[in-house]
Amino acid sequence: MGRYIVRRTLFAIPTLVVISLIIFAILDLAPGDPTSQLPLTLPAEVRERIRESLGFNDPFFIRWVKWMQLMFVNEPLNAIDSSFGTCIGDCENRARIISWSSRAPALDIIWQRLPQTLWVLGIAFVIGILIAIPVGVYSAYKQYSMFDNVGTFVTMVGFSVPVFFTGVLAIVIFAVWLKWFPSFYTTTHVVDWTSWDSIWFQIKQMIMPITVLSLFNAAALSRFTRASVLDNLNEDYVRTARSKGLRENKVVMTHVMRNSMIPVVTLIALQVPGIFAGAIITEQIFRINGLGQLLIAAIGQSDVPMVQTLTFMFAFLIVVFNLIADVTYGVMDPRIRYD
Amino acid sequence: MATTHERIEEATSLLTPGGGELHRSLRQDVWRQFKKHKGAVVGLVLLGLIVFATIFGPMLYGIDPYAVDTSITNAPPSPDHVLGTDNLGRDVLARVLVGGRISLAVGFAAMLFGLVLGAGIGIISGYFRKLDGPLMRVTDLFLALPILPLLLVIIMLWREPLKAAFGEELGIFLLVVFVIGVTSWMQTARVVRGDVLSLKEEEFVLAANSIGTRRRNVIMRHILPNTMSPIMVSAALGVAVAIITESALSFLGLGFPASFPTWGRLLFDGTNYLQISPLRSIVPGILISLTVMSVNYIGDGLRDAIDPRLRSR
Repeated sequence: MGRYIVRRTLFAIPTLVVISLIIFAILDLAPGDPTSQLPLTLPAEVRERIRESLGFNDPFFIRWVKWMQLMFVNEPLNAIDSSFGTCIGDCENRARIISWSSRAPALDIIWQRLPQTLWVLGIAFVIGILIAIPVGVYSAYKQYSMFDNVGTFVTMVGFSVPVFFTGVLAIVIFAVWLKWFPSFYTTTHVVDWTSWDSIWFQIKQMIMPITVLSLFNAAALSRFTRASVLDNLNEDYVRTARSKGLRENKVVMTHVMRNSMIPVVTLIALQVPGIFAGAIITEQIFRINGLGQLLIAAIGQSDVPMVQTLTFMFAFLIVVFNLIADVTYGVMDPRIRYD
Repeated sequence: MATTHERIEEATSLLTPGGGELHRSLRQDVWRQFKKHKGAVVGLVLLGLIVFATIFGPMLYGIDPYAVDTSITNAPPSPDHVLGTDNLGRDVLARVLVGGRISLAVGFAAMLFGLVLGAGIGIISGYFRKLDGPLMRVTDLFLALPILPLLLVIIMLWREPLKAAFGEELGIFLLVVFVIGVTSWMQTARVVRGDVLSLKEEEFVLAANSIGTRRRNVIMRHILPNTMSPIMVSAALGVAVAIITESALSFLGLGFPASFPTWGRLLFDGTNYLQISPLRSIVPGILISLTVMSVNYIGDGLRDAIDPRLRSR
């Protein structure tokens, strides 16, 4: 098992390096320029010196290696220093990835935006799982029943209707017509846990985005759960378990569930990075001031360092969760380890 | 549920190598099975209707979707303008019909591009052992890329150069089709590779090789036709993914420019007028959803019809 994990982890490192190269190369073609926002009265030679001091005239590979150093050495060190109050090496003058548009370290801004994204999308993800698994298991167990037919249709609808339409529809119905919820999310609202009104306001503004997203997540996952449980229900070991007189409850909940949840758990792990990709669209609909909104704004302002950092973070999450999915699969299903 | 008779027929058709008559009967069997999937049939009819409406609708309806009339801005539905007008007085229904052409064209073109790429890479990596390792690493790499952020960045960067090279509409069309295709071939490649790996060991391939058939012909005549079923399922799902991606890009304001209405773009433009004329957003949204749903149902039906294991259930 240890060897399996080590082998998988070692394989993830070159993947990350190549992905960082691809992202860096794509963005290197960007027309953005760090001096474009400086006053136009600046003489051309000063402008050139600024570009030079920022290392803008170095060859491509030198810039890439320098960026890798910022991303993998300086930023992690800085994170350690600021969270434990230590000072490793020359912590005062350590270079950081600076956003061109806000002139602040990119990761500090990302860190400020992260809670908004995590609150809404994280809760939606968890609720989605909590809905999907029981629905998927029950409709597989009662295949072709009323519940299954309705459930399959509803999940198909939920799976096909894009979030940016359900979101807009929810705004039209619940915010514009019924006026139950606010049509956009007020991120400046700080929840005061002693005031019922403040908590209620926060809940009210979170209901629509969370409902829309969790239904979408639940649809895809419950289709998958249903298929996985169906695959197992027809297996010989289920017949054996039944014929030796086990209670139905035990057969389904212990024997079938244990086997059919293996691919489902893997899929859940694989979907976690998707939370952040989903953030891009959802945050745009409900005007949530999170990471997705930050990415769209950075793209609009050609803020290259910010886009690079964010895109690379998304890639990093995908690789890490692929690794987690592989390892959990290996832990739960011994056959996988010896490929 | 397949009857015993059908199963025997299917089994014999599978057992008889290269039998012309019986080979066709497998195809008929798949069609017969497909027809039993109610959702798939409804999906096929619905998709046909939507395609028909977008192709011939603008001619039949006869109102210019680009005609601006500031005297009737944001009008509610009326006999003259069935779905009302937008903030510049343009007819909403006419715009939705024309927008569907671009959305569907992007969906099908991007699917075809991704499919050719995926099937090509799948066949090459399944057939040529030396290329298998590198190509599958590339596939894994593409699967690990953050697709949506990269799509946004690529479109942002290449929009202007392509606009200059091919004109506004064609430039953006090529760009969107290209980026969606290039980021959606991986699943097809994996499935096709798996199929080719097992087909390669079949006796008819051995026979073809032993009578000296050229490699290109072995692939084109013997391998490719037998991988058609996973390719068709991928095609159906590919259309759904492409239409949703295009709409999402347009919704984020990074797809087609406002002067070329696509469903995603119309939905996005309408969001600022939700309180005045909600139909502007709702109608294109419903059409995107219906199209994607029909295509997904067709994909489901195809998969059930092709997979003998599911067919017996």
